[in-house]
Amino acid sequence: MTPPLFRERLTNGLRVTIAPDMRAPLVAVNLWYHVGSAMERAGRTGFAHLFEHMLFQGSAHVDANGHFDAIQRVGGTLNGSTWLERTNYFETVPSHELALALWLEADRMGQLLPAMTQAKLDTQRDVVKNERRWSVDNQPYGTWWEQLPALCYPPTHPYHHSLIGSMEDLSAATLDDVRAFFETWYAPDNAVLTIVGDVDVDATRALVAEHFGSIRRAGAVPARPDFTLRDDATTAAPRTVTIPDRVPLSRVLVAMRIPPLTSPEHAIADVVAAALATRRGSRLYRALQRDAGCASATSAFTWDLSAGADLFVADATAQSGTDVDALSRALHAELDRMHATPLTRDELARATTVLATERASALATAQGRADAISQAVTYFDDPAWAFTREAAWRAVDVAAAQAFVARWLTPSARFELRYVPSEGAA
Amino acid sequence: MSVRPVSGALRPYAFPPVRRWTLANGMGVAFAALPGAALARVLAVVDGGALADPLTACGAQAFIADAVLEGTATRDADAFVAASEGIGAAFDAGVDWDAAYIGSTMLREHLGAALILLADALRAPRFAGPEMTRLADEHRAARMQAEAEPRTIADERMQALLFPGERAGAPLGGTTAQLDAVRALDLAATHAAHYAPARTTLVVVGDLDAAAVEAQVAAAFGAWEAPTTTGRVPLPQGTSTARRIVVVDRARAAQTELRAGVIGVPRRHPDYLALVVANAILGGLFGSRLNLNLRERNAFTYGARSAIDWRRGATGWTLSTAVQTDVTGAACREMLAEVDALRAAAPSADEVEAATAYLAGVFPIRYETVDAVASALAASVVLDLEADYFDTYRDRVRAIRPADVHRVVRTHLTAEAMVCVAVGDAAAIVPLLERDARVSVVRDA
Repeated sequence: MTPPLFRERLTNGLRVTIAPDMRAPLVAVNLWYHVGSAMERAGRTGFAHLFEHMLFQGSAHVDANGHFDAIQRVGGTLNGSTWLERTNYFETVPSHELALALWLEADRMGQLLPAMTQAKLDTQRDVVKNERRWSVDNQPYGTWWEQLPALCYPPTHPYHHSLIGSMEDLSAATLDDVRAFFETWYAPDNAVLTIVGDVDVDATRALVAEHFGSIRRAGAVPARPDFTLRDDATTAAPRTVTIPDRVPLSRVLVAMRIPPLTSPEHAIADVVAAALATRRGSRLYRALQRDAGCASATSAFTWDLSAGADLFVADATAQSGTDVDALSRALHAELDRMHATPLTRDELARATTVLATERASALATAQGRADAISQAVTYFDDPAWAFTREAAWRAVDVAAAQAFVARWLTPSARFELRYVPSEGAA
Repeated sequence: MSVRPVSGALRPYAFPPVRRWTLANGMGVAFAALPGAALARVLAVVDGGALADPLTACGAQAFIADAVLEGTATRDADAFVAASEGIGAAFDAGVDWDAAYIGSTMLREHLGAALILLADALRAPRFAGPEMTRLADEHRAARMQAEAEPRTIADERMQALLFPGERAGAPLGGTTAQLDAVRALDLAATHAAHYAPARTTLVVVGDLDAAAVEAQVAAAFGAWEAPTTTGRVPLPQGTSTARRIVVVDRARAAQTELRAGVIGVPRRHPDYLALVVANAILGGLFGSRLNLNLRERNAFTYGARSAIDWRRGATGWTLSTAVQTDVTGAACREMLAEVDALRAAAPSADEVEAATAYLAGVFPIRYETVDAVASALAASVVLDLEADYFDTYRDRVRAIRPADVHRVVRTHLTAEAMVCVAVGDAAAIVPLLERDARVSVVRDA
C-alpha cells in the first residue's frame, strides 16, 4: 500500500519526497547521492567510500565528529553507506529535532570543503584500511564481494574494481581528490532527499527550502561512466576462479549477468532467486541441504545494480566432507534443472509470499521506507516505485519466469568463484 | 545557515500498553498492540536456555530449539515448511543463556494460522528422521565456521576466561567436539523437561485486536497440557583472576582481534541503569572514549566498543576492537588506559548528559517494529523486569548523575582483574604487547 507522498524539486535540482506518518514521534531523514565506486577514476579505487568517511569529519559550521555527536545527543541514530552507484547518509531522530538533521545534512552538502584537512584525511585513510582488514582480509570468504564483480565485468567496466579499494590506491588519495570528488558529485542536482515520519508537510517544505534552497547546483550534470557491456571482453578470460582461503568449508558462488534493476524484467529475477534459494521450501535448500546433504548453506540474490547489467548470484557452502567439485556440480545441476523443469506456479506463489513478508519487514521502519523511496527516486524518478514491488512479483507467471531463466541463466552465462580451504587452514 | 537550529517541541511518546494474562494450563501471554504495523510477531519464550545444558553436552538446548521446527507428530518437516511458507511466515528459533525463543513474523492476517503451527512445534516435535542428522550436520558446519572466524575465536576465548569450568564458559551453541553427545541425548525427554506451558510465555505484537488475539491464542494453545518437572537452573558466577592477556596465535593474520573484560553483574542488580550509562560513555556511543581514542584519534581500527551482555546471572563486560598488527601493543595499552581513566575521575556532567540524553531519546526509535517490541517483552519476561520498566525507563535514565557512574565504575570495572585476549600473529604481537601494554602475556595452549 502506497502511503501519501509529497514531492517537489527545488530550483537547484534537489528532489525531495515527504511521507508523513504520525505513528511515533520520530522522523527519518535519508539522502542519496548518485555516486559510488563505479564513478571512481583509475588509480583511486575505494575513494567513494573513503569520501563517505570524510563527510563525518565536519563541515563549515560543524566540528569533526560533530555530526555524530549532535545526532546521538538528541537520541538519534545515523550512518552512511557506499555502494557501486550510490552513497547514502541517514539519520532517524525524535521528530522535534528534524531541523537539526536537515541543518547538518545541508551544511555538509553545501560547505564541506572548509573543514577538510590533511590530518583528517590521513586518519580516515587508516580507519578505512582497518575496515578493509576487518571486513575483507581477516574475514573468512571476506574477499568474495570484490572477487565476484572483478570476475563478471571486464577490467574497463565501472563495476569491475573493488568498492573498498586497494591499500595502494587508498594510500594515493589526496585532498585534491576530496575537493574534485565533492565538486563533481556532491551537489543538490545529484542528490535525493527523503523525509518520513511525524512531520507537517508544509512546515517541512519550508525547512527544506530554508536549509537546502541556497546550495548551488553542480556546474554541469556529472557525466556518468559508460555501463554498456561489450560482451566479448570477458569471454576470453577464465570464467572460474579458485581462491584458497582460511576457510573450513568450500563455498561456490555462481553469478550471471542479468538486466539491471531499472529493467521491468528485474522483478522476475527477484522471484526466481527466491524460488531457487530463499528459505526451506526453495529448490537449493531441498536438493542440496535436505536431500543430498552436500551443502550446509545456500542462497540466491541480486546486487540490484541499476545500469548496464546486474548480477544474479547463487551460492552454496559445502557440508563437512563434500569437496568443491561435487558442490559445484550440485549447484549447476539445480540451475540446469530450472531449464529442464521450469518453476511451477506453486513455487512462484511460495516465492512471492515469502518476498512480500520480507518487503514488509524492510519497510517496517521509517528509515527503511525513506531509503526505499530515495532508491526509487534516484533510479526511477518515482517514489511510488518503492511500494509497487509486491504487485510486480505477483505478476510474474510461469511463462515469464521460464523465459527469464532461458534467456539469462544459461550454462554459458555463468561465472564461478570458488573458495577452498588453503593448506593448513583453520 | 551558520547557526544550529533550535529544537521544536518534544512530542509525547508512550511504550505500547502491555496486556498480560495466563491460560488455564499455566502458559503466560503478553500482548501489545502496534497500530499501523503490517506485520505481526509471535514469540514463545521457553525457560530453557543454554545454561540448562549438561556440561558434557553443551549445545543441547540450541539443538532442541532448532529441532522443534523439524516436523511434528502430525506434520512432517516438509508439511510444516509448506504450511508456514504458504502464509509467508518465517519461523525462527534460537537460545540465549537464559531462554529458548521460537517465533515467527508474518503479515498480520495470518496470525491465527501461525499460532497453530507454533503450538504444534512446541507441543509435539517428532525429533526423528533424517532431519535430525541434517540438523546435526548444519550445527557442525556452523561451529566449524565460527571456530575459523577471528572475531568469534576472540569472543569465545574471553567467555572461557571469565567462566572457567562453567557452562557459560563454553560457546552458546556448543562445540563440534560435543555434538555427538548432544545427538546421544534423549531429545524428547530433554524437551519435555523444559518445554511446558507453565515454563512458557507467548509474546504477541501487532496491529491486532486484544479480544481476537485472546481467542486465537486459546484456540492454539489451550489444549497444551504438560507437567512442569524442572526448576530454574543455577546461575553462573564467573571467576575473577589476575590481569593478563592471552594470545591466540593466527600466523600471518591481517589484523589482531583484541578483547578486554571483567565479570559483570546480573541484570536485576540495582546498579543496572548507571552501568548502562557508564558503558555508553566507555564504548557504547560513536563518541565514546574508546572509539574516539582508538579510531578517531589513533586510527588503529575501524571501530572500538564495549558492551554488557545482560543476563539473569553474572555476565561479561567486554571491550572489543580489531587493530592492525603493528599497533597491537599500543591499542591494548590505550584500551586499558581508558578503563583506568574512567576509574580515576568521575565523568563530566556534559559527558553523562550526552549518554543519558541519547539513551532516553532513542527509546521510541528502538521500539518502532513488532520484532523490537516483542523482543523487549520477551526480555521483560526472562529477566523479571518491573511491570512499569518501559514506562519509567526514560525518566530513570535521565536521573543518572556523574557520581552514580563513577561509583559503579569503581565497584564493577575492576581494572586489576581485567583479562585480555589477542587473536593475531603471535610472533609479531607478543613482543609488542610485552613492550607497550605492560600486561602479563600468556600464550594460549
